[in-house]
Amino acid sequence: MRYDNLQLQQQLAAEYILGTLRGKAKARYEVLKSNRLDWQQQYDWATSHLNKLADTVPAVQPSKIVWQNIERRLFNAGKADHSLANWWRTLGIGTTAIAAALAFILVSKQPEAPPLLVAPATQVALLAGEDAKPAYMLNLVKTDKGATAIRVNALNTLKQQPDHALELWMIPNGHKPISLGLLPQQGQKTIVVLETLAMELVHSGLAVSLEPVGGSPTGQPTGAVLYQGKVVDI
Amino acid sequence: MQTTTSEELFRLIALSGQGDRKAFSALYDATSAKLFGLSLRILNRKDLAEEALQEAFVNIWHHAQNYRPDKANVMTWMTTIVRNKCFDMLRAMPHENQLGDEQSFDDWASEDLTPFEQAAERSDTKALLSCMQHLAPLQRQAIALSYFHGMAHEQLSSHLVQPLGTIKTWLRRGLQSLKDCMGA
Repeated sequence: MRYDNLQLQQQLAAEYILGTLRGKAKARYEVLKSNRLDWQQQYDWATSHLNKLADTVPAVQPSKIVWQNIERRLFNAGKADHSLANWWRTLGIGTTAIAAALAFILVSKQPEAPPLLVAPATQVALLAGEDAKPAYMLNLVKTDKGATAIRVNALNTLKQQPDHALELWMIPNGHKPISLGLLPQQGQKTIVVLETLAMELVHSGLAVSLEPVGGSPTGQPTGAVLYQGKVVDI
Repeated sequence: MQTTTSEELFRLIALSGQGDRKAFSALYDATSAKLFGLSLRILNRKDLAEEALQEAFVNIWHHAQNYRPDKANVMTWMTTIVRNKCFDMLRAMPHENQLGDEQSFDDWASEDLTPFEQAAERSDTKALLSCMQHLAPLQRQAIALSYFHGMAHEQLSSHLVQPLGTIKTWLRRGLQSLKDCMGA
């Protein structure tokens, strides 16, 4: 069938991104794109590659008013900053004192040294619940010893489970879930992955289950699966 | 300007999607100059380009939670939003087909693409440019005219003074050649 023709799919995707498809042809393309996975894939390819053209334009700093307008429109900002400044002033505290206080807070909140991470993450996973709201963000990174590690960020939308533990599982295709450890319900954690599992990780599903405090007693998930996701390249 | 890694941009967009204003502000700082360069290139007027950038970032804040990393990287996603906003404004303007002298896009017909390479911040842009190098000069210019100015076949035909059929063939072969050159 004509619509199965790969070259046609590529051609129309590229012309759609460029902007040369117009009128009925454009409308027909949009229907095909939203209904067929193969058309969608060619569209994604064209989006990623043709938009590199935008990178050939030199960067130009926009005037400050642009950001001020954005802030005003989104957050009604400006007023808030002003009142905060006044509040400090009424307390009679100078900015040096504020800076010193902030520095103290920052220093005293330094966490223990985590494993040293060297390579930036190029693979990530967002774990989301049935409502499609992400709860954890995972970055795959390399440690200084060359091991694969998952840097876990608990997002502030995560529903707190004070009486339970949340356990992370990888589910290799056609195999039983393998525990990757317990997850924090706020903040960050770095989980170093055994090298034998690291290879499989990118092809596996990821899931978070609700477990008794201390984790699953059986080595397999025992409670409901709350969040799921998959590793993707960025 | 130092380019921000795509990992960091992803972190910022994910946090912006959660309503984190600081992350959104950092996202703006990291990307606005490049995106403003793009909107200036398309609209060719500072006031309009700033308006487009502003509108685009308002959209980006509202849609940050819908960002899908498996579809496109953050910069591509934001580029698409800015470009669409610019084209909306361009179409709303009278004489949308008319280009300023500095917008002839003749530079894309040159054999020397190094100025584009120098402006590029991302390493994979080089791959695109070296594939563009294989195209005929006017093929490159036709692609640039439609990408940066939203020109359709008929406009390209009158701007480049070529029959409509020729323009269509140039684009079809040019895009296919780019696809073959850049691979999956």
